Amino acid sequence: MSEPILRVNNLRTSFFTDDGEVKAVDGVTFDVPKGETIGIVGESGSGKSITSLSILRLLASNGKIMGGEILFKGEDLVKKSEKEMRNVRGNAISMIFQEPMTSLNPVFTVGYQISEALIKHKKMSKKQAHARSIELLELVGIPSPETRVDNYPHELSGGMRQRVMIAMALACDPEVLIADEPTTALDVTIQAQILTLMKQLQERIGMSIIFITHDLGVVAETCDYVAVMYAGQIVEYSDVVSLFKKPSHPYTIGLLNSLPRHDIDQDELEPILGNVPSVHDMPTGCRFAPRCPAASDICRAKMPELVKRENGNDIRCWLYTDEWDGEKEVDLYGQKRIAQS
Amino acid sequence: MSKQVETATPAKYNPKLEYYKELWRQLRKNKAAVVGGGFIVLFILISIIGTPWIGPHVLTYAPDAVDIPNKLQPPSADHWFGTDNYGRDIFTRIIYGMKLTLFIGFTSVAIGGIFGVIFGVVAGYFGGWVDTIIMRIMDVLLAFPGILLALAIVSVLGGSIQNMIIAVSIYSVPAFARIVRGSTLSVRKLEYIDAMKALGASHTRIIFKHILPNVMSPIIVQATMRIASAVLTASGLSFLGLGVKPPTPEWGAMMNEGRNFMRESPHVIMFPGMMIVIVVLAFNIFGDGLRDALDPKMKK
Amino acid sequence: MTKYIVRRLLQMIPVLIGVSILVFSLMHLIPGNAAQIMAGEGASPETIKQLEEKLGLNDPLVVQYGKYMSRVVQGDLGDSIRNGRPVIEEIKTRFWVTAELAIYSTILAVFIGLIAGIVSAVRHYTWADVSIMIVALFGLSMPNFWLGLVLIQWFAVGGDWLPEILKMRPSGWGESWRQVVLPVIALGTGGAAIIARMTRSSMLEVIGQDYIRTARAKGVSERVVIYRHALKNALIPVITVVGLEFGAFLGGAVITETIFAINGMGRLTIQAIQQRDFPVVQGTVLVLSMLFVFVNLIVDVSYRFLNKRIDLN
Repeated sequence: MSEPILRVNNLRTSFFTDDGEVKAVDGVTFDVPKGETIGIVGESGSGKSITSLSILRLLASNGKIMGGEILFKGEDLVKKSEKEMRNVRGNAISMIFQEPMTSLNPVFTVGYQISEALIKHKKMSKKQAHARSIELLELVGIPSPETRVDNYPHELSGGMRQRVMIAMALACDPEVLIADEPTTALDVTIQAQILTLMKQLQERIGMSIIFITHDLGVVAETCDYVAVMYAGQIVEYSDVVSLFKKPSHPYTIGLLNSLPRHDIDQDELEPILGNVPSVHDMPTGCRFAPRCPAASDICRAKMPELVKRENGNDIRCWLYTDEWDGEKEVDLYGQKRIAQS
Repeated sequence: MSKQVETATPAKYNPKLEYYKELWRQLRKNKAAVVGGGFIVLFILISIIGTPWIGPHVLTYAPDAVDIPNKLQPPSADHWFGTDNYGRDIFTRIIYGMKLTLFIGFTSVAIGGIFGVIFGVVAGYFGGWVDTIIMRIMDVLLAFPGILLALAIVSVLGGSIQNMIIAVSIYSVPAFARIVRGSTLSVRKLEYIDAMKALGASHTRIIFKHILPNVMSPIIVQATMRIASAVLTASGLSFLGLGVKPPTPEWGAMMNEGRNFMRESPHVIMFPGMMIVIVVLAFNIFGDGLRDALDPKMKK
Repeated sequence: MTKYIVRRLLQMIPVLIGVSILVFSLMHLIPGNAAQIMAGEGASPETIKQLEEKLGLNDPLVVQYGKYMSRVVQGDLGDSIRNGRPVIEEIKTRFWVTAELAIYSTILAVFIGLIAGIVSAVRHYTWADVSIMIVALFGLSMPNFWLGLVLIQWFAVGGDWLPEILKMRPSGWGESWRQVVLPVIALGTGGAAIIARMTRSSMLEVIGQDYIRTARAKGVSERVVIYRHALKNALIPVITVVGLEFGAFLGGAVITETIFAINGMGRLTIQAIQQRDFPVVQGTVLVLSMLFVFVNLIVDVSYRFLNKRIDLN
């Protein structure tokens, strides 16, 4: 693993609602290696999007980072002033969002919207920014960019708009690009195009990508590392090869198992039973324990820590610790795992 | 017609009841709704006091007891809100006027609301030329700026409580029709309505069982807000001398009478005016609360 | 765009016809003998008969309406039955008084309403927001006649403005700012409150949109986010409300002009009603409604113009 450009350390983010504090992100730690792609995977409500918004401090007004550090090239973003953060956003770190249909401002041309970041961060003139916008539109594969630059968002298709979003995010050659489910709202064929585009651009610019998704297929295609999130915590952090070859956490195994595969013989898909715990009613022990087929007494009583294993990957599960008090060998969604290994 | 079907549904889950239960739960959580609703309950209590059966036993003065020697008295311990140009006790008249204000507000909105809902549902549900005609008529009613339509109607019919209610009702119809039509259109597009039609349900049944319950929330909110504006319109007409006529203790009419004396005795217009503000304010606050409670999207 | 304007103009026709029918019917809705009522109780049978002839009340309704309309399109709104002067002349001298009153009130309402609404939205859930919204609720709930009287009581009586304000002038009003300012406040306050509430909720809705987050993610200043990205979108629905408020002001002018003794169309209407001078009532109601329809057309067109970029169809 190369030197991380971004380190998220024990991040805790809460939302304050009428019903009290909701701990959406509760102690998340991961590294983003330079020039590589890390995927953050989880169901909706697992806190993956909140994690990404926390990095740029773009939380809604009732959300607040309660603790932890976000070290970008050694500087803690949590401690930065709002003004300093604005110099980071759209510049060294930029972000693209899930909904290309609603993420562009309907009353401004796409050229204007791309230019904004250039004028702000690169101190370009309007004219320079306009010219650069055309180049960027070309870079992201939009045909006849000279005319498209003056289009309004409603004149473009969903795939085109997502390309515009990418052009906007890449305007200032970011070192880290956060992509929050960039392909979820698109058709499958467009999805593939956008993913390929992102990969090409990454090779060209050499940025790191944080890829937020719930789609393990997309992860397999694009990511070098994967963090699996469950109920506001990371339960497994691993390189992508070992994750798909031999997942460790019961939740990860369950997730992979619910994915139809053709490379191995599957009798039937075995779903993860039960539901994600309510934010107001978090289990005291392991958050996955109520749904885990292997859960034992310690799982229900105590929260496991995220620990580094011999292969360099992290796992949050009692099964692989010395304190494990259950069966020696457990069956997780059709796969055998040996405890304390 | 639908009686049998209703008894056939299991008693355990009644969607209508659930709706009102949930509404009640949301309302109790909403400060604006509690305050506004509390005031409205208070207004109703005051109107009960201001009836000939209870008033004389509770209140010292009669609303129409003329006492010329004590005319235009400023507020005092004897006359809390002072007296008017005939020496009548303003406080007593305001108490008696409450039931009129509420009555005009409630009935005109009820009548206007019923017609508006009918027009709106029919226009939205059937569409086509029915829709065009109804909505054009509504456009015509809306083309009269502000209070002017009500004013014109009262001016030809003559000023009385009934005529004023008619005028204010007609004035309220288009607002209801528009809102209900919009909601009906969006409900009608839902697939289950098509399914109901395919199953042979009659129009009346679909409208009453499926469309109306779904457009209930905007109707309730609109009705509350409309009561506020109906009270304003009605008192405005009376103030102009076109609505309820003196010596009826209607607040607008009281202000019309008091206008000529206001320079020396401002209390003759201040108190009735303040009462109008309070009543309108309460309905507006309650309406805001209702809207927030009924529309979870608006809540933060 | 031109096509849209033409279509809207064509749509106006049935509405205007509807308005004219309603206004025409006013005289026929009078319970009992209209001529008798207009002539007054002491009128002799001959006078009544003459009036019936003059107003053409003996023709069939359709004929009457046809005659009425053909006169209206020629700019003839009939004659006052009190002073015999053509209604159109009576209105001409007063039209701009009322129009000005409504326009100034609209300017005031838009100015105050927008500022208050934006401040409220930007600082939502702070004391500033809460106090602005409380004031707006009061503004919304205050009868304009009461506010007018209170203003007279405070400023005019206390500040000795009254003679100046209530002094009638042949040209109507507006010879000094003191004559203008109080009626405009009295009339415009309610509209300001409505526009403030509308702006606030529109802004809040826009601020919650994805594209605002996108703008923030670009690192532009909060000022740009609010005043450029959010406001431009938030103003679009507010425009419709401004049009409706202008109408409310035209109607409200009836009350405001009566209180402040302004010699405009509103006061003319009330006087005509009191004197049962129905041709005049018909004329003012028709003209005010047509003005309102026309203003709404302008509002719709400008809305469409600003909104065409969002219109997904």
